[in-house]
Amino acid sequence: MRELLLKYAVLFLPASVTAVILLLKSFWKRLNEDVFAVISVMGLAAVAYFAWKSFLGQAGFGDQLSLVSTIIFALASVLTVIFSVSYLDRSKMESAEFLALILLAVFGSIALTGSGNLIVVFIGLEILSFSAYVMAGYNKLDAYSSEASIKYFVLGAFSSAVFLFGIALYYGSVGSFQLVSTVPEDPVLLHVAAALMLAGLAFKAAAVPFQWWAPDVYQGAPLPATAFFATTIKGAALVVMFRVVSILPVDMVHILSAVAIATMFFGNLAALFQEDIKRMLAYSSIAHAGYMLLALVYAKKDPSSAGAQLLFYIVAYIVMTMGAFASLRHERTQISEFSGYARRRPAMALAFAIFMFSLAGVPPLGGFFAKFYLFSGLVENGHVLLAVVAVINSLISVYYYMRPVVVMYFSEGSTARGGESCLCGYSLPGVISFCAIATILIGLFPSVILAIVSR
Amino acid sequence: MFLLLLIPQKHEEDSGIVAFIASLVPAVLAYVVWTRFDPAAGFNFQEGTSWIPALNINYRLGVDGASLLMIALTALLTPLAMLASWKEIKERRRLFYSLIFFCEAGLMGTFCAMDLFLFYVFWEVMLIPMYFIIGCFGSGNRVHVALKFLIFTMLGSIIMLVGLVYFYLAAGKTFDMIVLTNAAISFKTQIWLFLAFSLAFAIKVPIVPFHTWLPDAHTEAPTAGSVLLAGLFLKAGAYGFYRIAMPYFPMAVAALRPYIFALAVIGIIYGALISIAQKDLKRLIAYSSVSHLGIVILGLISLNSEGVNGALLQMINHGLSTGALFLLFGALYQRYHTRDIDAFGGVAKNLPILSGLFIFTGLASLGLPGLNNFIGEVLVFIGAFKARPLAAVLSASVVVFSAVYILWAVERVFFGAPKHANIVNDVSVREAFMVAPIVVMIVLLGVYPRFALSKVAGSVNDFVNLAGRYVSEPERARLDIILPTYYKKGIELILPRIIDKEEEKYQDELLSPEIPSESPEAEAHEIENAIRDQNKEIESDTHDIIDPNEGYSPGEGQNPFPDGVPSPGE
Repeated sequence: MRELLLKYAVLFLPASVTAVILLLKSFWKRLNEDVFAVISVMGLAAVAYFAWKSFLGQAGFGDQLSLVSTIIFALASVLTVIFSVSYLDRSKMESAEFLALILLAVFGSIALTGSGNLIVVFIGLEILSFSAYVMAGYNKLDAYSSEASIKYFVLGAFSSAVFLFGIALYYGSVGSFQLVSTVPEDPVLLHVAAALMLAGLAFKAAAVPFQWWAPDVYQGAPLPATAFFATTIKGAALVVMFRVVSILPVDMVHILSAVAIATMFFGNLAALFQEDIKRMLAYSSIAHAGYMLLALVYAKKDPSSAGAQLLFYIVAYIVMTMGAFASLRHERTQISEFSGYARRRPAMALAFAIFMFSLAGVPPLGGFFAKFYLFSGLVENGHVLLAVVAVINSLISVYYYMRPVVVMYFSEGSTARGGESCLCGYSLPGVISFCAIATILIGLFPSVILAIVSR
Repeated sequence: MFLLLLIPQKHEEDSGIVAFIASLVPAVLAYVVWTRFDPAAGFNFQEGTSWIPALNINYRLGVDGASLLMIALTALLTPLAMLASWKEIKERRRLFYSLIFFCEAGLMGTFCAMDLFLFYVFWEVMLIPMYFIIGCFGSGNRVHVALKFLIFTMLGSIIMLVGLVYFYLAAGKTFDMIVLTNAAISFKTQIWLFLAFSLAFAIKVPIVPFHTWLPDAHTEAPTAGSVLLAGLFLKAGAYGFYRIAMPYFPMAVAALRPYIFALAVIGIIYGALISIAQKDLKRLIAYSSVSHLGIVILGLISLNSEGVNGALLQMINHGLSTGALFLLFGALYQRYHTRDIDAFGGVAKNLPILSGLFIFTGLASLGLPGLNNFIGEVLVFIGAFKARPLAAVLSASVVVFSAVYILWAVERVFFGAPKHANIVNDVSVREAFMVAPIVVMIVLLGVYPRFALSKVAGSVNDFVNLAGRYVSEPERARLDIILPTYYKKGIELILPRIIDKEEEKYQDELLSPEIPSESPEAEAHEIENAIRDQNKEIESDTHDIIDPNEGYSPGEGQNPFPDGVPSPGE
């Protein structure tokens, strides 16, 4: 029993912490909200700890790939929790349910990435998605938030149905729910099944042509929810896509290249014209999904290095995206609002500039090394042209990432610390500075993470 | 020692004085490096540690002759640029000076890196602070210009990144810059890689079709920014050609050499002509850089020791003279608040010392004998003449053009009737200190260039041997830095051309000037330098069977370029 508990601790912990939070909230009305934050952070830390133990050799749930991604998602969720406590406090909303939703989503993503059984994958996906739908509409007094929730729910349910249909066809073709690499009698059916499953997952990852929901939902949802969608959910979806692509005996190089190219171009070109930073970051996250899809192109040929490159990219991407979202003050931040920010808040402006440079791929920051590592994988597997396309996209992205930087540093603006001066304690600056320092450290000393992801 | 050089401390005080004093630390260190440098030892002061072992990326630094010159130049110009900014930059000084330190760190790293990945990282590191320097502290249309600068250079470097990755994999997963020189890469790949790397360097240099960012950036940047850009950033591009693009891809160099010659010549003449037409004094100086850097490229692509020596010397010279011009222009601008040449006038009457300094550096820049640029240009033209006489003749015409734009501008700005009679505050002590070291160096290099050239002789030899592996020209002699030899050689080159015009063997004689031993001068010369000439005779004996590879066996075992070995063009 104890062994079983230890083995499934990573699954069992977030679910039970969710329950604890909800129970406490229901029966102990006067409990301080901060307690929930402490409980969830501890729970997530424990998840990361158990995943790490399993990673080091103890028997656990899932394989190396999923354990590493579990650690990544747990730590990203810790950041999200701290970020959302500060955010919800500022906008006078209850935090307990939101934290419970985050933990539930983490539970879903662990199940999603950890299993080779498609039914478990589907259940994980649904748990993840339903928490996400609610998170998107958490700010129920804001019409945009409700719109985001409805939009996300309708389209998300549709994509889940597509995914489920893919699973059904897979069962029809292979006769099992396990992902296996044996070639079945009817390869056509398998191809259709794989395509449908990937389509369902591509929706979660916001890849072209399933990306239309993303800008609206990302913009409407509360900031921490958006950060969570853009980091953990996207990462989880990509890890599962990676698993599907690398295991199934289906050649999808061309289709995946086309999708990756389209995603990169769509995200980057659309982001050029955004005046709202949150929306710009939404498009930028689409573009980054495109870069990460590149790792899937050669996942079949060279699974170990593709996996390492994907995971490294996810780590770097999560850190810088989380930081960028945390740096925003409220839902609809026009770029022009940042004018003179460098004089008002030099440290915060510096951090935001670091995130922008890192997203644009400027060395020696984390985003650069992630891109370099990914492109070296591409070139090594003979996709030089794809690497060139990716590099051109990265050049396009420099333009829009520089716009906030230009406004922050180059324009005069007002120097008075106006209404935005509320930083709400130390938690939010803590998240931002942690992300900024991590972004720099990942770029300067990537070996540590490389050693972990390339196992 | 070098770590200290590379990480100048970021200071917090609200004043340029601290920055200036701090920037003297790298300068002193650079001086120490200069004195301890051993030209015979290849890369001196090597140090390194493993950085990203999984990808075989190391943190390795080292200095050879060319990097030494560049480091010295960087260490010299940075404090002066800071000195120039004391009055000019009035707010956000802390940010400004730390940006300059970051620039310096990036430049130093670029010049010292011995690991290609490290080189790339430093290459980009110097870009971002310059973007902020232009964007935050520039004038006029600074935001647009800064972005243009950033996008242009990013375009180059990002294409270089792909080339870098490809090169890394093709060469067997190593970034070691010494191992890479001998990487066996097929001809076609070399061409592509050369183009990828060259694009980055060509934008930075800039070689002509990629030069459009330069005048804007130089013009709108603050004085310190212009000095760093013109004095050092452009050199980083040329250094990239010297260190990476040319020695690593010798086959591509051999095949593309005529085009590079053409681009260099176009750049030289075009830059000079455009400079003549400028109404804006700062823009004029900026465009003259295009012309001067063309000379550097011409020298490098000559692939003989004269040309390369001249090119390296010219890199220093241009850094000094153009840096000084920008510094002095900054001083002028603070007094007159205009850049328009026609708005000045009669400055010499009001500010005699400042005008004298400006005219002095202007003359150095146009190549007055006895000052630094003259030596560099002569060496480059001699080198180019050996390789491609036509290119040398065409580009030597630039001497006339540069005299036109410099002297004409000097006449309009400094002479004539004074338009601003009330401005009489001549050079302050600070400004004198700012320019004095450069003036000293200009004279020193003009009179005694050996002081710099002796440091680079070994590196130049290595470079010529590496980059010229597939180029068939018999001149591989080491350079003796005694100018009369050059004049003699020049005459030897030109005389046979006139006398033996109709002779069939003309070409051979041109290539090896020692052959016509019937001329008594050459005989005497031969006795003097018996050992070296013996070497040459062996070469000229075997000259009929053109063997470009002298002891080097190409990896492919086939003739890399079917167009035949380039013969000296006419």
